[in-house]
Amino acid sequence: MTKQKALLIIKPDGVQRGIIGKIILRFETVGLKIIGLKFEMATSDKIIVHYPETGAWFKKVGERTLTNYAKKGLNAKIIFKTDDAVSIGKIVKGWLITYLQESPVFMAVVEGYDCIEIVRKISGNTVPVLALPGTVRGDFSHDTIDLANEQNRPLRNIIHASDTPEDGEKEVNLWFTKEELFSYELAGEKFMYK
Amino acid sequence: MNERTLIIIKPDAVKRGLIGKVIETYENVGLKLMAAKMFKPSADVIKNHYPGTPEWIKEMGEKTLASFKQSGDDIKKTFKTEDPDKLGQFVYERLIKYWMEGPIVVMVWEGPNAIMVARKLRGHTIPALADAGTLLAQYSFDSSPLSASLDRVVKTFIHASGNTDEAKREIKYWFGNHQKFKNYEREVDSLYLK
Repeated sequence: MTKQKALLIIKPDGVQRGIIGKIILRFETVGLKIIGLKFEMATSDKIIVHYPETGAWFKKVGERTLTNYAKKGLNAKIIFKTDDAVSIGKIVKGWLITYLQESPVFMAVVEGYDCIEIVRKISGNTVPVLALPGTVRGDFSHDTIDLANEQNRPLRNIIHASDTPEDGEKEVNLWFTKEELFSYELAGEKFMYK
Repeated sequence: MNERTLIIIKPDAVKRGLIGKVIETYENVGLKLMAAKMFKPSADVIKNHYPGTPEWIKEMGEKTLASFKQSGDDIKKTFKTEDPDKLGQFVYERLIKYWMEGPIVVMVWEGPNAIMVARKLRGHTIPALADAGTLLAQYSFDSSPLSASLDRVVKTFIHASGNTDEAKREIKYWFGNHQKFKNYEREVDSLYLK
């Protein structure tokens, strides 16, 4: 098993509600290592790259939105002026760019064995209302897709955590330079891995 | 009244996974995070964080003398001298060594009386003498006789600026002349700052 890196972004709702420390603490407590961190405004240029600028991504997000609207009996065309999934995906991406720039964000790179799976477990379901208690999203938020859609805004879900090992590598390289990452041994490390 | 202060989490606290705890403490009191970065400074960068003047070195030596007097330990037995200049130089060198044990986290926090509030929550720089409830008291038992017997300085694990001049100088030193800190609204702002 090899070590993986994951990018965590504590989004503006987490920053402005003053829960950065409480969230970071959870990743430290489980034994993951923070090998880099920064607090700054995310630039549009980087956010655009962060959420894949591909037809497939737009389609996936657009279709998810359309499905949710249909379930609620809402007409997506009224809000988005289109029912084309890719076009809707692009609108949602615009919302995400605005959301991530509501305040500076707290970014951390965590490292550990099977790190991606662990950070996703700790972060919880990306839809806060579905996230279990004990997870970051389950404990600190309760937003729903319905409410976000009704208010024409993205889902506010506190934290971003890399989805796959490949995303982890890509996102860490996007937001951090090699000089901003550090190698060191945690005090408890020798009791965790022999 | 609104002040900025520089807080540094030193290597031992990073290795123990206390980054979240420290951030949580300052967030909870209502201070606003303005900047943060993980960093591994060179010996020179650490050296120049301190004033380093002969007066300052002497003062450091006198502090060590006072702390030995307080604990009733024989300073001559440990250091073979009771000259404050020599003691100060001894401490200065080992201080730099301590800071180089691993990466540190440098932060700027803002709020009314931020300097005093941050120092109060940090506590006395000798953990064994820190008031209960302060960060140094909660997370360390270190003392001067202990550290001297192990040929190192007391691990104070959090640096907090001492006064407005120091804060200004240190913020400029660690974040540069032209660093602009982006203001944003915290949840407590509308309750206490309006």
